[in-house]
Amino acid sequence: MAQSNPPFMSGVPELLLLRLLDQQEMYGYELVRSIRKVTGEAISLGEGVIYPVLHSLEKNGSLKSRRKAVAGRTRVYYALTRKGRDRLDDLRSDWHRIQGGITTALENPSHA
Amino acid sequence: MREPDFTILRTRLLENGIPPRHVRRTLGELEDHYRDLVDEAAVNGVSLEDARAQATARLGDMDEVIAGMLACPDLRGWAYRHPRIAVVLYPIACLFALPAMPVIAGVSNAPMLARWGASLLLAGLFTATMLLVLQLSILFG
Repeated sequence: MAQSNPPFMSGVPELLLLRLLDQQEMYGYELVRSIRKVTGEAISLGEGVIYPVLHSLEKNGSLKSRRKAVAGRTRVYYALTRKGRDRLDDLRSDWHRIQGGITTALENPSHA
Repeated sequence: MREPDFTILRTRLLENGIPPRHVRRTLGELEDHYRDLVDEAAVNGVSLEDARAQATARLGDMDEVIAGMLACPDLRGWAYRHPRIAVVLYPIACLFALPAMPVIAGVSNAPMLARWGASLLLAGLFTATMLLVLQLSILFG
């Protein structure tokens, strides 16, 4: 059966993509492989969904893309822009805040 | 399992106002991704049929891809984002474009029009010659 993504995953692909592209430019398939690797396969996406996220990030100026011929195929490589780096910083601090809140709630449910 | 239905994906994206150029790019990336997944499975010794099934499953539900594309208004064509402006501007643009259409059609079909013109000219000359011969035969016959 085709993989689908749980509703709570909203925003996670964007954060991961920006984080990975902060290190080096990559194309879609390479990005998904990296996500699987860096998350220890804890996050398994329906892989096609990264393209709307990538295109949307490119449209809002967070990413830039270029075509590159590799082994007879034309790959679309994505790289982070300055705006994307700012977006990554914002998302990262949001993530830490939410993660902290949830961890606290899970550890001390009586305080929740 | 069947291969991902890229034709339906293409149709639905176009129907919902994603510009054709962007649709072509998205399909190209998805098809490449699918081929990479098939290759990856094949390298791991999986049969081609199973490799295709695994690749289709990993690529995921195409409805989610469509939903993702449509959820981002910036990815849609400007006429979909600003329908009221489009309703006003399109008729005006058509008004200006209409007189130019025959010229554009003529230029784009120039070789065919040239052949048609030459055929017509030859046919005219032939008819005129025949009429002249007829006329002369009446006069001097």
